[in-house]
Amino acid sequence: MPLYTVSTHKPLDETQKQKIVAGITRIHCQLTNAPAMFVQVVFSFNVPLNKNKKVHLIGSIRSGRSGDLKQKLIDQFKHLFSETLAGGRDITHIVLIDVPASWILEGGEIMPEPGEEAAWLKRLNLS
Amino acid sequence: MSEKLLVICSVTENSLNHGDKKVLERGIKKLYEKHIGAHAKSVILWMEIPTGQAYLAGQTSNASTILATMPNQLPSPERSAFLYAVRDLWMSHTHCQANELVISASDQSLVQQFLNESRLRVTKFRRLEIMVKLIARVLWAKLVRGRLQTNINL
Repeated sequence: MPLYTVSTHKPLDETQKQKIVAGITRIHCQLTNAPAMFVQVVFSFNVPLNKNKKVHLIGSIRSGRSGDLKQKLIDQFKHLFSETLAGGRDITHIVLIDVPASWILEGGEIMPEPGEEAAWLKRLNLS
Repeated sequence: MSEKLLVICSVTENSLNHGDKKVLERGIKKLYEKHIGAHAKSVILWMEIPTGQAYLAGQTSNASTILATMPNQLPSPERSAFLYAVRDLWMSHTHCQANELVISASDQSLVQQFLNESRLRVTKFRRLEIMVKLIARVLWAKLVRGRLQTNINL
């Protein structure tokens, strides 16, 4: 967690996928201070998207992020897709879904609340 | 009254064989009965992801992701016990590393929200067609392979 699902109609090439993966990982980590090691990105192709959309992004993120932070995530993701796929900011539809940390198990343990990663990582010997 | 609780197991294509999937399916169903109750019947859907379409920490990944539906507002102790039990089942059978497994035990309402958003991403003019295609694919897999299975690509 987070898990970002990127849907497009046409399959993306390797360069585009790498740019998107690197961009989503960087943006998420910079804005949330979460460790990159748990940022998942998966691609779903052949999806006939809504009119004028080239990309659909569903992000399942831990609950507890502020509305302001989520808006920054959306803005920067839109910019990333606009740059990578050569289109305007409106080519992307983004949905963020809040998932309580206590509902997720990752790294063999139940996830910590946002901001409490350091102690959790230390406990798992991952820091 | 029995409930049908959906479990979506997303795995990289060909990372698990038929026997593995059968064992994991049986194990997950038993864990539902043990931790949620005999009334809680689970339906397992395998979602295959082609190689090169899943990434973790910026690198291609073979991590498995399990989305397990829970009854709404399930108390935390039961949810946690279920999560750890699925972890133990999956890791002991597949011998994967702890960082190659993500399990979510989410309320029905949240899973419904996720499924709904997935449906709404498709243009409304083709939603019915895509739904029929998906159902046919899943049922065909059940007929041929004995399990419900689809692919992340539509």
